[in-house]
Amino acid sequence: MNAIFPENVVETEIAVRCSGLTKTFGSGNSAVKALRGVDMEVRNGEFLMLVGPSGCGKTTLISVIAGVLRRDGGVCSVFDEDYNHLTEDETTSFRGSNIGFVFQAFNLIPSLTTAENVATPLIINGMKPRAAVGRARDILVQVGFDDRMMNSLPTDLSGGQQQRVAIARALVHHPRLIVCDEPTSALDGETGHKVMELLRKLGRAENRALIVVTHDSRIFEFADRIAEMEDGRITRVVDGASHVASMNEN
Amino acid sequence: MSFIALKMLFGDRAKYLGIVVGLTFASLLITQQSAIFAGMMTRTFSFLSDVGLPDIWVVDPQVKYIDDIRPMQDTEVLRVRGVEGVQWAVPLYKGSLAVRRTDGTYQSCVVIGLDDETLMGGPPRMLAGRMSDLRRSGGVIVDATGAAGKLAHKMPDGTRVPLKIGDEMEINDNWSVVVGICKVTQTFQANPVIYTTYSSATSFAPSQRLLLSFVTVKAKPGQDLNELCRRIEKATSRRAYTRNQFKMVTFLYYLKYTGMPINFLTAVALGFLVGVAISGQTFYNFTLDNLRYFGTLKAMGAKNGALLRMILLQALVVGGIGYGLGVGAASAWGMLVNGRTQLAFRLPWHLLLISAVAVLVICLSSAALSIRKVMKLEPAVVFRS
Repeated sequence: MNAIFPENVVETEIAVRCSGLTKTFGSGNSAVKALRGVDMEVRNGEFLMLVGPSGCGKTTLISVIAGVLRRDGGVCSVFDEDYNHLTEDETTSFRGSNIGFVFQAFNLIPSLTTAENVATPLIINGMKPRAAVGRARDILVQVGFDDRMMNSLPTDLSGGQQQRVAIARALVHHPRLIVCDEPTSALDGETGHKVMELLRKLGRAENRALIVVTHDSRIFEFADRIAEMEDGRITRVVDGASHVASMNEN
Repeated sequence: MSFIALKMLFGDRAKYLGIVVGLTFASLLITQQSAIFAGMMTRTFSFLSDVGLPDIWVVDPQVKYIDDIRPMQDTEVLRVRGVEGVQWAVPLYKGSLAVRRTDGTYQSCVVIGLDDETLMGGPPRMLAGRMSDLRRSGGVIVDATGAAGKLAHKMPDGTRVPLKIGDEMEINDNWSVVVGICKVTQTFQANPVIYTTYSSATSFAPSQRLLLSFVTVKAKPGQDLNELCRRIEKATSRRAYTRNQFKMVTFLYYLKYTGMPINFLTAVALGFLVGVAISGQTFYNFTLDNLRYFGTLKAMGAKNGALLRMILLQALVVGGIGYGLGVGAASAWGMLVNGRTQLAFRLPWHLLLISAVAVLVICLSSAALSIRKVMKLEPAVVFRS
């Protein structure tokens, strides 16, 4: 794979390194090869988008990178840790400390208030609920929430607001890598744009690496690099600006 | 994580209430039915509980329980008195005799005949009159429940007037007069209890050669009761029981030879099954509904152990609340019916423990299904829309 790093990305150490990554679901005649030898690198401070048609293996790839799915073959290290060398509990702890998640369906716990939802990763990492909610309120201010909204339940919020809460939740424990799965697919164009601006602004702070899976071409402009996937492989990697320019030309 | 677990539990109000109602119902049914069973079984040996003074009861060897009267010769009392370690031994008559009511109908009553000299084995509590009045000719003491119920005067307008001191009645065609009203523990058959002297009782009873029902014995201080029982049995060829042994013999007889345990066990099992069915199913559904969020927590770094503790906490909290409400409702019901109705209700701490264990089993079995589901959950589920 040709690694193209734009000038605005500080070339520090590698956050994610995958080589010859394979993953197959099922066996025998019903086996589905989701990843067929993926080579990829993501650097700290970089915003990478994984794009491609449905079923090309984007979600499987970030699942493996995030350590929520075991790979079958190849190599994958995240901050120089290979999940295959960690136990189940060690992998879980690693995820809890180093990775933030933003999901397509937000996955906010409906019975927790906005602030409590954001505090969840801190509570998982052992912080007392009161202190965690206090920290969560600070970060919710950064995503534009007032006191009333912080005490609301997720069902009282719009889709865009819920995704902002999800972003705050992904950032609250200062992870080094954020993985987002279709973060704008449930949002209208304008809201999706705002969410991506917020994600880029806050997500890339602290030299954090960001991987976003999407097929929403309206948000390609936010990426530093775009990796195109097809049939379980990365077929092309381009910088975000040139990808948008070529799209516009077409 | 407890904070999140409890918020998740209380947040889904419909399911939370469903689980609690199921467990409350199970706990109520298990506790109430067990308490009624315990109450009824206690009544089987209520006479032994009421006659508190004797340490040992001497009976015919064929006697299988307290109401199984096999009369002995009166001389047995003297033989027992001769056994070393016996402080005193007195005769006691117990029999079922027909009492003729003022309206001409008959009521079967338990007649207790006390030693004429000592009146040992008398009612535990006098409500009116004096025990010593039993020595008056034909004098009897009637238990309050019987006096106000089955033996009460039936008036022409249908109302019932309780028996009172001075009222006369016929016991097995023998004249007698009420000289006192007492309070006794209700008997298993719920028949009125009438106390009189041994000589009066044996004169009321149908004529027969043997009339002595029991010899009640007080041991000298410091005596080993079991050892004394063995000495009495050796000297008299009769069976001697300590009070607790006789209670247990009676209890086991009713347990073995009546359908009561099966009946109550069926009701208790029904409560247990209802608890499992309603609460278990609802709790499992609650977990299934939250599976996505458990997956999210797992993805965000919550270990299986933490999720297991979350589910156990949720199960134990609903279990504790359901158990508390169920036991509370059963106790309230017991207080309401006890004394006001004929229903037996006895709730010792053992039953509370049994009920708690049953609810705990329901909760843990419900939680086990949920835990299995969550433990096997792949955190990658969170990326599926």
